[in-house]
Parts: sequence; C-alpha cells; structure tokens
Amino acid sequence: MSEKACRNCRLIVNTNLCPECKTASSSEEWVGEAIILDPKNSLIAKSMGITKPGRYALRVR
Amino acid sequence: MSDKKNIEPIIFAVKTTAGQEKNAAEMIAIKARMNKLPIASILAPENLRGYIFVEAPGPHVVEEATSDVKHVKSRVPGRVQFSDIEKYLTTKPIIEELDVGYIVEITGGPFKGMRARITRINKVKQEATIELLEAIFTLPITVHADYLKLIEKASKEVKEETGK
Repeated sequence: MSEKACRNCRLIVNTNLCPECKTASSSEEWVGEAIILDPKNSLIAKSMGITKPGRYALRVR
Repeated sequence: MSDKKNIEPIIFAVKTTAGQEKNAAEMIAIKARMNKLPIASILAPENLRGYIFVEAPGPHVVEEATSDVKHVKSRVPGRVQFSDIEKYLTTKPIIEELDVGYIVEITGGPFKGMRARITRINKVKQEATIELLEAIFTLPITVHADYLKLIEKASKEVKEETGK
C-alpha cells in the first residue's frame, strides 16, 4: 500500500485514518517531505505549525 | 550560572543524487534517531532536485549524520538563511502562478506527461482550460490547477493573440 498524506494535518500515513487528527481524509497525491525530529527546536516545524515529531508532506492535493 | 543551553538551530544544505531526495532524507533521519544526534528536522522540497536541507545545531552534526549514507554526496559549505527556504514551506495555490498562454505540463490523469497551452483560467474553481500541444486536432480540456506544472511563461505576442 502506497503512502498517503492527511489532508488536514499533512502527516504521512499508511492507513486511510490519520492516527493524529483522526480524520479519514488522506490523499495519495502529495509532494515534498519534511521530517520533524525535534519540533521544539525546529524553525521549519514552527513555520509549518507542527508540534509533534513525524514525517509531513509539504503539499497535499 | 544557568546550565540551560540555548541551542539555536542552523539550516544546512546537503547535496544528494537527483531524484533520491526523499530516500536520502529518510535514511539521515533513521541514522539521527539511532545515534541520538540533535537534528531538528530534514526538508526535501518538491521542486529542488539534488538538494535537501538539514536543521542542526552545527555542521559537525550534519557531517556525522550524512557520512556513509546512500544517495548523499556532500554538505554544501556555509549556512542557509531561513528566508531562502521559506518559499518551499508556504503552499501558494498553483493557479496564482498560471495565466492564459502559458505552457504547462500535465502531472496527473490520462494525459500525464503531455504539454499544453492554457486558453482559459477559472481562479474561483481553480481550473484551467488547456489545449494539448501534441494533439493533432484542437481538443480543449478543463483540469484542476493542481495537475498542472508551469513550464514556460507566454511571450507578449502569444498573450496578444489569445487576448484578441
């Protein structure tokens, strides 16, 4: 099963249901990737509004 | 004296094999987690081939995380300003970049990979009507702007022709 990205929080997941925001709105069409390891010390995470570590898509169609 | 260290993250650019940016980023992230390296984030933008960005407290951390990692070529000397990578994070609608007469490439659906010229734009619906350049006869198709990638902006002559 190909990886999907949640349209709501942009988290990259393998299932239809997003484990983070609990919505079933995921898309296979996503581009760009940001891997957040330490959201507290990351400028990129702050700019994207991410508070939890994980893999996030930059754009979800 | 306070023991609390205020580590300000710095962004570094890392050269990778073109087309393998995501794989390289994931392998660096795995190595950083395994060796408990203080890497804050790794960014692999869609429209920047052969480069990724690593956010870390210093260049030595990036060197350690990227050494002996497949698809990683080298670290680019110097630091990258956050303002330079901000454009990759903000998701500006693609329709804003497009206009009548522009040459685009279709990135999804049955016409994927084909080039076309924009004949009409509907910014409200985020749709564009295009004419395929490779088609023998004129076939107008309306597609969502998300499935289009800008290749070439229209010259003044083309704009005037389409404007008439």
